[in-house]
Amino acid sequence: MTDCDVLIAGAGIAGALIGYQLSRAGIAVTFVDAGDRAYFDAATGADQRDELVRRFFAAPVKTTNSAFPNLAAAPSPDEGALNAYFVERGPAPFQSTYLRMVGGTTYHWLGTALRYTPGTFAERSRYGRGADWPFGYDELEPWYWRAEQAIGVAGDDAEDLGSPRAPGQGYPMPPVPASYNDQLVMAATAGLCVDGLPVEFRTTPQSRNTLLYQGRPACAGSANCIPICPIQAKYDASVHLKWAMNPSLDPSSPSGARPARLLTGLTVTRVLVGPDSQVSGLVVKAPGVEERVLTARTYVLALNAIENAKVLLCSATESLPNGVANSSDAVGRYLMDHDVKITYARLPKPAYLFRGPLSTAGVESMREGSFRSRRAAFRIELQNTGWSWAAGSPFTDVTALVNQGLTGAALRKAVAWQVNTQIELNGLIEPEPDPSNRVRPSATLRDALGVPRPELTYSIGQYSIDGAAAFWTAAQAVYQRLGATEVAEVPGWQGAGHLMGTHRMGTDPASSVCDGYGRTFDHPNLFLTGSGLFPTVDAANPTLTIAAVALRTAAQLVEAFTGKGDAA
Amino acid sequence: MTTEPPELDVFIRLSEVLLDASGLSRSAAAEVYAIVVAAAPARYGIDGSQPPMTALLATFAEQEALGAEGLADRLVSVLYADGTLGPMAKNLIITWYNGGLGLAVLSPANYGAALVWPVISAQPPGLPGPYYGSWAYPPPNLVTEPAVAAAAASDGAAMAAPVQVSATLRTPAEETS
Repeated sequence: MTDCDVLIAGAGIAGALIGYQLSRAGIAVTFVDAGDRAYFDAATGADQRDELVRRFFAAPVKTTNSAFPNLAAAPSPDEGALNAYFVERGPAPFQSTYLRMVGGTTYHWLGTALRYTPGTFAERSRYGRGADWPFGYDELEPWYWRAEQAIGVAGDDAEDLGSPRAPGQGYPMPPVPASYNDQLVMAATAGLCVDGLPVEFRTTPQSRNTLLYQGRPACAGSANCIPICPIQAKYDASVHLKWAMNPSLDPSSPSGARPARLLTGLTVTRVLVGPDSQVSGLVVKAPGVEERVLTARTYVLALNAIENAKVLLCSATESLPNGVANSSDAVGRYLMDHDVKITYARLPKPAYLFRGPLSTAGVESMREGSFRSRRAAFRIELQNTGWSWAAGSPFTDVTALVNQGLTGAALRKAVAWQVNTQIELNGLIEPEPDPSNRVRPSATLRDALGVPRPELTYSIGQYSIDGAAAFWTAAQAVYQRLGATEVAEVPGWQGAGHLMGTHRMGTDPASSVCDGYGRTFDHPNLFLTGSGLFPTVDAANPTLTIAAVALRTAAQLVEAFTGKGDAA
Repeated sequence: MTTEPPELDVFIRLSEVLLDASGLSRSAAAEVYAIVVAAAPARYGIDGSQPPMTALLATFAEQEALGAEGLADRLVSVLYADGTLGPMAKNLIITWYNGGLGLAVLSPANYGAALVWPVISAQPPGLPGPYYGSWAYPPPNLVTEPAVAAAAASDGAAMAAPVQVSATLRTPAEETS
């Protein structure tokens, strides 16, 4: 007798979408999450983010996690104290963060919802780099469309951005209006080409409402997508968690939907495997209580690329000395992020920044091409927030000008001019999967619950360094068109918050962990989901692809449980 | 909630002169006062007999008593010549602009009082903008280059309206209504 049909560890976007689809099909789903509570009332559907917004207001440093509790029993890495949780083994620091809470990191994501380009799925066969996915773009394309509807993407149907759309399958909402800043850059760069590639600034498809959608309002321009949209105009996983837990809240709920259960405050520490290679339970732990085992017919690990790998490796036993699902020795390896290069400059006229979503345009026209056999692809993200990432604007501008002796009206005018004439272009650089970039459970350092902390070995390869150099060339060409001065690059790299690659899918059990549905080769009733599955990535943000792959997995699970195909 | 210090009225008048602003929130002012005091040295003066904030407000009161004309310039030159009161005045301005100083920040109730946002024609992040899509258009308060503005003003040329610090600071409640 098991506790449920499907036990989903991690109530973030991938787990929520899978759990939602299964609950619609009448399958008994339990979510288990380390977060201590949900920030919504599943009975009424009422959102409870006000407490999170107040926490953000009160935070002295507005980091990506500053709106959220950092739980002693389930710590989240934070830029303000990265080494308090991560055990960094270098040579480069791994700088991306995530949230261990109900709803996961979608609470603080930017909302960028790009599809990967077709070449990404065949990177090995086409460019001799990385690895091929177990399926091609054509296979995932219908799931991309469903994902765009599920998480409410606003975009321009006329722009495929290098990822072709099926006829008649447009975005569910019209695009987010281009910011004034975007329009200046779009006009100045018309026709610009660098290295034979067009530098086309286009409005970014984003999971941000431009109409009333799923009962959530249109963006009010609160300029706070990260760390928290105060009105939930930006999608987060609480949407589908609520609907899974209480189908009566879901306007499209079928009559046979079965409410999912959510268990909070429980950290999954190990995966148990029986003699038949089937997973027999997940060990969960909470402060001050005995470990217990949750059981199900099928298990889905939806924590994230770092926590999924850590749990699998922590589950090593005498009979599985490499850990669970790790006969390939690929678990924890190929850790990827989009290493970010930050550049900035001074515009000759005001761009009127810090208004609207944090970024509404970027360059997607340089993500695909034969150059990918030599160097990394990149995308350019145009910030609507001046030098905030580069230099801490506008607060640092104020401090510097006050310290120069300015007061009164002179200070006011100087701050207004100095902040509004900033431009920041950030390059998200494609990583090349490297088996030596990895996450392991620390052998000696543990969190407050006694769980090993993630130990990270990370380096940035020549492929990415060469891609970053190409980005810098393109950024300088953009700045030149704008007549910008004070053009500069921030030394070093930043993290994009994109955790990828640590339990890659593939077709060969000797070199990959899961098949194309996320089913582990070693344990037929254990599925992994999230961007840990991605064998390669392009330069685009991963969340829409996480959603598309999760929906494809959900359909497979529904078919397995009910014999009926296509849950979407 | 920060208790109102007895000198709050003087502190607000000092803030208004340094910031060239009016109608500052009393509640925010009490918090700025506490932050500036906490960041100042414990004692001021040759014999260390005076709290620095008392000295700052007394210096302001002396200058204020000399008349409104040229008050800001006189005050700044007197304060900025002083190695304790000058940095306190700078901390006061920075706290009002940024809504905090270092790790000390205004309470969530006064989050919307930070001056930097209206000064740059934006609103505090996390509080809604004026209308859907407003970010596609220039804001009502256009920004001019300081040097250009000064040159044009001396030529007597007609200028675009300069950015105004909101005469009455908006409270979060008003922002969200």
